[in-house]
Amino acid sequence: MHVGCADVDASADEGACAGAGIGAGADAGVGVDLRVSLGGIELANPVVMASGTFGYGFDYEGLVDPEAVGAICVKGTTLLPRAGNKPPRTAETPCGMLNSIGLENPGIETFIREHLPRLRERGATVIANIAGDTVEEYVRMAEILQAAPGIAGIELNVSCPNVARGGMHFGVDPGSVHSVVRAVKQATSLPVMPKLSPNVTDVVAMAKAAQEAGADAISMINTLLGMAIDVEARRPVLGNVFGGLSGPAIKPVALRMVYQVAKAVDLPILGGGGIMYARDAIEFMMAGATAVSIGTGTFVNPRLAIEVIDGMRHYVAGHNLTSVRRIVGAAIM
Amino acid sequence: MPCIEAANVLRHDCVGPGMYEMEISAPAIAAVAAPGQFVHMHVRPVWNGQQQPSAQAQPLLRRPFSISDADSNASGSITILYKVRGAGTQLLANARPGDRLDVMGPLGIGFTLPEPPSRPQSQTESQPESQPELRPWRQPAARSPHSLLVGGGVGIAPLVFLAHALARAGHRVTVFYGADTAGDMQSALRRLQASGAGSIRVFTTTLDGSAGLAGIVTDLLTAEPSATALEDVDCIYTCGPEPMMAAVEQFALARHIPGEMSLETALACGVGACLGCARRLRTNPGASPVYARVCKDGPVFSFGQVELNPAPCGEE
Repeated sequence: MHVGCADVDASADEGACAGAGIGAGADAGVGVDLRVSLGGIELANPVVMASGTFGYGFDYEGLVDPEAVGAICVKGTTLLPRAGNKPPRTAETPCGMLNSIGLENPGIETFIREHLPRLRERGATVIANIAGDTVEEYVRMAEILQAAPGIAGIELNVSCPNVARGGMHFGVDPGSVHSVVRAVKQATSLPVMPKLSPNVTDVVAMAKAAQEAGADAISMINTLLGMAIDVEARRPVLGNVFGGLSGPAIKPVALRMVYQVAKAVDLPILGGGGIMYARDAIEFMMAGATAVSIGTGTFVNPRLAIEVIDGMRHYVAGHNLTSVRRIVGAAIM
Repeated sequence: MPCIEAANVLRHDCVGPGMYEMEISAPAIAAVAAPGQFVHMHVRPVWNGQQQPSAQAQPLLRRPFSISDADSNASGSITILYKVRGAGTQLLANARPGDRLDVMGPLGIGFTLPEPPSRPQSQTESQPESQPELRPWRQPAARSPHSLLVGGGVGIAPLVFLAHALARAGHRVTVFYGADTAGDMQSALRRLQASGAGSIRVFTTTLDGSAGLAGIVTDLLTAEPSATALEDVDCIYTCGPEPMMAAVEQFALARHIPGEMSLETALACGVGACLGCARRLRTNPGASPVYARVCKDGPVFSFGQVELNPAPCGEE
C-alpha cells in the first residue's frame, strides 16, 4: 500500500525535519499507516504526550486536542492528593530545563471523577501515570484504575527524582522494579509500563527486571537529576535543591538508553527525551522505540506533537514504507 | 483557548534605559485580550510564520509579557513594555520592525473590572476639587466607581491597558506610577494620557526626583495631594516589585478596600500544564501548603490570597 508515492520526492526528507510538517505538501502521506501497539495499548499514531507536560489533556486544547495524539500520559497521580514542592520549581538551563514539581496532584479519586470522563468523552487514549510510596500503594491504585472505565494502560512512575519516596527509589534497583511491576501486574489486567529512570548505572538491568516481572512495555526516559545555583544569592535555584533535567540537552542520552534497552529486551518501548522535531522522534523509533513521548518540546512549540505526527507521515510515505512500524529498530546494529 | 500567531513587529522603541516598547500585529490575540492577561512568546524572531524553534537556540523557553495595550479595532495589534533583565529580553531587544515573533496568547486570568456605574449612588462623599476635567461621562448625581492603579517600574505595563479599559467603561481612574527616572516613564505616561477619556489622573514618583515626588510609589499612599485623591477609592490594582505590592496590599487590607495584584514569575508551559510556576497561597498557620499556578489561576490574584516574597522576584 504505497499510498502517496506518486507525490513524494526528495522533499519528503524535509518533511521529517525541523518542524516543517504543517503545510509542507499536505497531501503527501495521507492514508499512511501510523498505528502502533504498545504492549496492548493500541495507538492511532506513535506520538504520546509525556506525563507532567500535558496536564489532563485540555490545557493545550485548540493547539493539540487530546484525541489527536496517540495517547496521553496524564499527570503523575498518587493515592492521596499531594501539594508538590516548594517553589521555585523550574530553572532554564542550556538547551533544557530543570523541574522539581514534586508530583503535585489531586489524588487518584479526583483524577477519575473530574478529569477522566472529559478525556473519555473526547475519545482520547489515556495512560494513567501512578507513583506510590510503597508497593501496596501502587497496587491499590492499579485496582482503582482497573475499575475505572476509559484507561488504556498504566505507566508506573518508578523514576520521579523529585520526591523523597514514591518514585525513583523503586526505579534504581532491579529487585524493586521487579517487585512493583509484578505486584501491579497481579492486580490489574491493564497493560503495565514502568517508566525507567536514567539515574542508574545500568538501565538495561532495570528493563530486564521489568520484563521478567511481566511488564507489557517500557517507558523511558524520565528526567536526569540535576541542579542549578544562583551565584548572587549563593543558593540552589530550585526550592527542592535538585530537579530533573529535560529538553534537547538530554536527547543523546535518552536515545542511547532506548537503543541499549531495545537490543536487550523484547518489549515495546515508549521512548523520548528532548524531542523537538519529527526527525528526533524518528531517531527514537529507529533506536527501537515503538512510540515516542513528547514533553518539554511542547512548552517550546505547543503544536509539536501534531508536527511530529505529520513529519512521520511524510517520512513513511517518502520512503515508500507501508507503515511507520517498519522504522522501529531500523538503526539497531 | 490560547492561539499562536506569527506576529509582525510593527514598532519597537527604546523608551528608557533598557526599557522597550513593542507593538506587534496579533489580531486574533488582540480581539480577545483582557487587561491583566499575558502573552508567552519566543524572543528570537521567526521568519515565514513557521515554527522553527531550534534545539541549539538559546534560550529554550518562551518568555511571558503582560499585554500593555490591545487594539482590537484598527490593526489588531498588542503592545508590550519590558525591561532588559536577562538573556531572553536582551535577544528580544534586537527584534526589528518587520520581524515576526512566535506569540501565544492571550493567557491567564486578568483583572476583575468593577461593576459598571449603572446604579446611581448618594453623592455624600467628597470629590476631589482640583480635577474638574474628571468624569465628563458622569451621570448627574451618580457616583461612579473609582479605581486606584499602583504600578512600580515596568509593572505599569498591564495597568496601562487596565486604565484604558476602566476609563472606557466610564470609571474614574487614579494611577500612582513610580519609576527610577523621568525618562523611564515617558512612554507609559504618554499612553496613559492618550486614552482620550480624560478620566485618568496620574501621580508619579521617581527615585532620582527627576519627575513627580522623589521617592517610591508607595509614598503616594500617604503624601499629599495624592492621599486625598484616595478618599473614595473603591478598589486597588497593583503590579510591580513584590515588596511594593505587599505594601499596597497591606494598605488596602487595613482599609477594607478590595483589590488585585498581578504576579510575575518565570514560566515554562504558560498554560497550566506543568505546575512549574506554583505560588503558595495563604493558609492558616500550620496548615499544609496550597499552591496556585501563576499562569493559569493568575497572574492576577486578589489581595490576601498569595504569600508574597519579601525579596524582589528576579525572573523575567
